[in-house]
Amino acid sequence: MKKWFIFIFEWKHFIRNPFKVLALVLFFASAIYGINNGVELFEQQNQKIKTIKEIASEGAKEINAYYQKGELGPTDHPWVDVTTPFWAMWYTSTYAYKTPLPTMIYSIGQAEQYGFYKKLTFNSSVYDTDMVEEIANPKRLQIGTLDFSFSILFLSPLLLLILTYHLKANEAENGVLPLIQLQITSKSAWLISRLLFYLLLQSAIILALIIYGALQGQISLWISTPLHEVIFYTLTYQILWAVIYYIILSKSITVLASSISMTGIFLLLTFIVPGIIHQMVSIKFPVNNMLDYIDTERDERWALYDESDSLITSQLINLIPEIETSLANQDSLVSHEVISRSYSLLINEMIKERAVEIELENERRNEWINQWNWLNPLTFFQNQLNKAAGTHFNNYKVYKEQIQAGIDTQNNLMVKDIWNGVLVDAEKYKDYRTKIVNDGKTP
Amino acid sequence: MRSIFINEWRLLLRSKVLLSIGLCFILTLIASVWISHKQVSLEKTAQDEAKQHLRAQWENIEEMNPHSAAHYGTYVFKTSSILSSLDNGVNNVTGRMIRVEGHVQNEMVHSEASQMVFVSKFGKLRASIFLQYIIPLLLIFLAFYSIYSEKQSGRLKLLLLQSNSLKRLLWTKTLSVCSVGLLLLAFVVLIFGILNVQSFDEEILKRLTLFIGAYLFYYFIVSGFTVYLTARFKNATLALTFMLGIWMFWTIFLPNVLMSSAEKLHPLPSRNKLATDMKEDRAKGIDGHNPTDERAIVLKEEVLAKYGVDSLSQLPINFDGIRMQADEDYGNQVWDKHFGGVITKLQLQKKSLQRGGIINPFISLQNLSMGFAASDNYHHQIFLEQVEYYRRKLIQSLNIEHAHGGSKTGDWGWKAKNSFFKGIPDFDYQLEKIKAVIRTYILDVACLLMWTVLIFGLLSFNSKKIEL
Repeated sequence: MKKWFIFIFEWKHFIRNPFKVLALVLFFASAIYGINNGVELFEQQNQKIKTIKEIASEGAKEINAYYQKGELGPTDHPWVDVTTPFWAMWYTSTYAYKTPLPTMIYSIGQAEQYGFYKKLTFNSSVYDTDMVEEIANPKRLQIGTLDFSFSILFLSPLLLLILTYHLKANEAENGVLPLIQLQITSKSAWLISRLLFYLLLQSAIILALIIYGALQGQISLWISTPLHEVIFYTLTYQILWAVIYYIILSKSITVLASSISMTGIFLLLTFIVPGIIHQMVSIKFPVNNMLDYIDTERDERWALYDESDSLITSQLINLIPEIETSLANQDSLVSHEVISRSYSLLINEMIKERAVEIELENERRNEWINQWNWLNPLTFFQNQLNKAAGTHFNNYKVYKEQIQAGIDTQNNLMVKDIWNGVLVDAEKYKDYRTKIVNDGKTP
Repeated sequence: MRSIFINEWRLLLRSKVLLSIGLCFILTLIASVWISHKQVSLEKTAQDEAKQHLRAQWENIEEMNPHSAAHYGTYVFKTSSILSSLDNGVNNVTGRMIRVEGHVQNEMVHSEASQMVFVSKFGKLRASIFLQYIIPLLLIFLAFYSIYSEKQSGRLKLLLLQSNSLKRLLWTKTLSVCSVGLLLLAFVVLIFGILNVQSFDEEILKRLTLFIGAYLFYYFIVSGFTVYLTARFKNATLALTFMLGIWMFWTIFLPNVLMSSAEKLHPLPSRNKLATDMKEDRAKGIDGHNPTDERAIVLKEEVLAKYGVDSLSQLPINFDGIRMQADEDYGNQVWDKHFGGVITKLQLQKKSLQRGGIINPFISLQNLSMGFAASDNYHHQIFLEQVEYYRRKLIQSLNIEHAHGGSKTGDWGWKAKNSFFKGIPDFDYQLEKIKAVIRTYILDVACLLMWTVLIFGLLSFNSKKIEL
């Protein structure tokens, strides 16, 4: 029996089975819905970033006006003096953004667990409350958004199951298998050909959906490497399930046994194994209650306020050697205002030290999760799709690093200028903003 | 009926394949309950240690200006109910702790999900994964097999000839399949009970009973529906395809779509929008840190008049504390207005999702399961409400001490004693009473009952239409 003949036979069988067609239509609809959800989030985030940029620009214009008019700041805040580096930096109105990749439309990933814009101040940290997700219904976050990757990772194996669970076993049950064996050269090749038909059908539809997504997100089909990664991992995942199902189908002799085994393996790989890994990682690496961070952010900060000015000065010199030769340090007694306005630099350094430990712990947690990828393909594929979509944990780690760079720049510039008694004017203010924005820019 | 029921069980136990699958299943189920219990216990121990550490820091404040203490603040941890080891609900995506301080209502931070790469869409291997997703699927297969095998072997007609009505037969098959679900549920509850017996109280027992009840109703719906369809469809394997489709539609597809739709129907404001609106409203009120603020001056005049003095220095109290509290009171009103709006939207979203139970009993089950396990968004909001109430009381105590503790206006160097800080009680989360939970979930209860009645009707009154 030739392969194309088998394909025609399967096609006829497929279109005559309303439930299979319905299952395919449902899958198609859910994938389209998922892509549209991704497009919506992508557009929302871009729109929000645009709005925030406008707000930031307006804020900067307001401060610029003070310089132009020779004013020191808002009239109802008489203590503000924007010509000092402290207040100029306070009002820099700068933000860090995590600009979404167009491939986000395929996998929302962890995008909803983190913020994507953050106001940068010299007192900020990468663990501030505005680093968490946008205001959202926790129930929705728990259920998750139905995105394209969800359709691929959870629904496509189910679709393939519905399309193929009867293969061979149905013929065996009806007693026609010996008859078919007379017409074919190899039973395995016959089964593979039939399975291949459904795999190709499903893959063609998935490919069409990816192209639809690319058109929606205006992604180039030829030069976008992340898109090619999406295609590669999506199709590889289909092949993986086809191989698993082939093994089951080749061993089964009843439809019930096939369907139970296929459903069982589906549940095992999509619910149970990831669930076990998730449970085990929570036991092996319990959730960080961030006590060290709290102690630093609060107690060490407060302890710093009680330190002598000379000790603070020497700590500052360790971090910025230029302070030693600065204008303020030439005085026999450094003004306490200069000292107190430099605290944020030291606090930032202390928080950075804690952050290294926290991130190392996260890294160890992730390594542990990844070492089980051979047993846990779903998690592996989801994370690969997230990487291609720029919504992976590591993408947000890079974002945090950019934020930290922005905070560092603010503190370094401000403290240096405070100690050198720099008078901030419109030009200097613009210079502050440019440097912070550049350092806090999403790569 | 009894003999058919017993016979169903005999057939199940006789099949070595089914028996070994069943045993493996029970062992995995027991392991999942035990591991969940261990993980929740570890989490609780770590949290208790963190709470003690932070409380000790607060109680060890030797001397501090009350307003400085308001900025120093404290931290509150979200305590999970022991039932969350059965259903973790939204706990994985909400933060773990919240900072309580003056002037500002913080959000929860440091969620578990934000500390690692993606692991699983359906969460940790809690019993709820088995109870909600896997056992119903198992019941679908059993119910299908129960009728399919009778049809294939021709025994179904034989049974009908032996003065059994089809209605009675379908009911018995349904109940026997349902009893498998009950047995598995019983294993879960038994192991959970053994592991947590010391923590049981009346409230937990009530919740656990309702938890079991919700699952039983759902198992009846799934079993009855599959039995009916398998009997009704001429091609029984089509019935299996249909039921697998229904399972996929109910448990994977619809919850996602309905929840996303509910959020689109009642959109929440963005963090930035909310912050900007609140800042605008806040600017209209008193500024506790700004003595030159017009509203602060009006308040000052009022207080001076009340005490019958001309200047702040003549006041027997510290006006700074009064001004700070006025700032807090205004800030609280602003927060109530804006976050009240967010809470209303969340409630509307919840109602929309609950209505989804009309077409999908799984949604009702999931809502009830989380609700009775105290791990749902409703309990999360109650927790946040209690934290905010605690924050207001704490800051009020600090401001009162600032105003009336013995200092004079402008005396920022004045410090309250350690005994004062020790005297401020710690946060104590009170679990919502089950009556209130039932009221919140009455729509889900109604939907689950509606489906039960529908299946009851199909099995009782529609079986005559079935052609064998």
